[in-house]
Amino acid sequence: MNAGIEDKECLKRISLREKEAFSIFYDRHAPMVLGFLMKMFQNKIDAEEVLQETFWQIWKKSAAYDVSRGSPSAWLIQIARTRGIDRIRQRNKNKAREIHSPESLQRMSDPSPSTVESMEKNQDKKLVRVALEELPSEQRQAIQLAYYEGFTHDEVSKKLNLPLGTIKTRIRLGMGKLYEALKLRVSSTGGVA
Amino acid sequence: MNHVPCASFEDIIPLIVTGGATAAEEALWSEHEKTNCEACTSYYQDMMEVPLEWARSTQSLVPPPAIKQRLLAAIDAEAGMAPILAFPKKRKVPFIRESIAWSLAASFLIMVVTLYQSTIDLKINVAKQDFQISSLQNRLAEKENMLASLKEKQTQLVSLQGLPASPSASGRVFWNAQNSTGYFVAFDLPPLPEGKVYQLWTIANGSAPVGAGVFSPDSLKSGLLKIDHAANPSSVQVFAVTIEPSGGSPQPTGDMYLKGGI
Repeated sequence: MNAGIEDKECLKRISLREKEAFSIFYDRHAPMVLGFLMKMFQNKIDAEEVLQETFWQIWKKSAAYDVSRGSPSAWLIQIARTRGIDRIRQRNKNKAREIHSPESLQRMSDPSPSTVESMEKNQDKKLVRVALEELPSEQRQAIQLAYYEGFTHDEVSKKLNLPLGTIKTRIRLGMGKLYEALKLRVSSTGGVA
Repeated sequence: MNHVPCASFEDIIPLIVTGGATAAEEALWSEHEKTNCEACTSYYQDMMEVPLEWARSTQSLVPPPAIKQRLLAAIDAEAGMAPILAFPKKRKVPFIRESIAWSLAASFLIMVVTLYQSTIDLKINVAKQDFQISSLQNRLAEKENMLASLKEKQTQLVSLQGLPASPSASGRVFWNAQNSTGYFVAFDLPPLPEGKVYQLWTIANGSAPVGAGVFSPDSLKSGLLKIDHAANPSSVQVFAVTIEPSGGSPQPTGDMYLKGGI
């Protein structure tokens, strides 16, 4: 099989139980998903287990992919994120959720030197990253809690002792700015990867 | 990417993408999707790219080959995927597994050492028991011999009287001249000074005294001695007890405490 086939074609073939297509899709995206999950868990074992669960779901549910819900890789990240949040929630089921520490809030805003170095080699990535880093801390914090740590907006509201409307506004504004950064990137490169 | 979404969904879509929309907002969006609103769908698709780009901005990490191998194996044997997909237990709780393994090893080692020690203790105890049994058997045999000797017709009873050094003391000899054996019992002998013993003598007519054994009185001031042999046993006429240095003397050197004749 041609390793250069588009992701959408890959998913289509995976839905037809083509193992080779799955292999190509895995090789293409697993490193990115694992990096994302490591960011979420800061824990190699959890990240690797969720990575495996994510791709198993891809194998089982690829027929459910709907092009109207975004690109295959965006769908993949959404699955990884959902599985990751499920695991976090399961783990915290029997214990009180920790108050968000300033250190963990900086996970995204203070990337490791190796991450920075990697990003600087990739101008496309840098645009989004810079946009993320330039978000007002309260917007970044709200997005962090909701997206990476799986808190509902209501939980974020209680955790930060702020009205629910304020939290939603912060997330909307933050996501809007990231969206604008993405638009800037697309316009400079001619398309979304 | 220049579509302008419907106003209300411009607010809702970021919440949906970040997983924080309420059920009502999700339902609203589901209904709106059915209208095939191109602007909103496009906005949603673009917004979905934000987390993706976010993920892409993190450092990629090469997964361990085992993960892909497990997935492909599970695909090959889809029916048995659960056990194949399961991470090795030690990956999930490596510390606990390792701790259990070390604990078991340590327990086993302790058990072996304890068993070894117990075996040695048992062997020592068995040896002690053997010794005690042997001693008891010897004592029993001795008493049986004593009884047998006392029952013999030719055994004579010789009484010994206390002398000035121990006037209240007394003694008896059960003497069998025929086989040159006998038993001596003493009563109310004074305690011995340090380094001294009592020595029994047999004295035959016209002969020098012959030592027949040494003894020390017990806490009841009694002493028992077996006489194994004597020179000229048939000629023995007198038994006497003197105090001598430890180990006894070839000839009497100390005071005489008891004396008696046949």
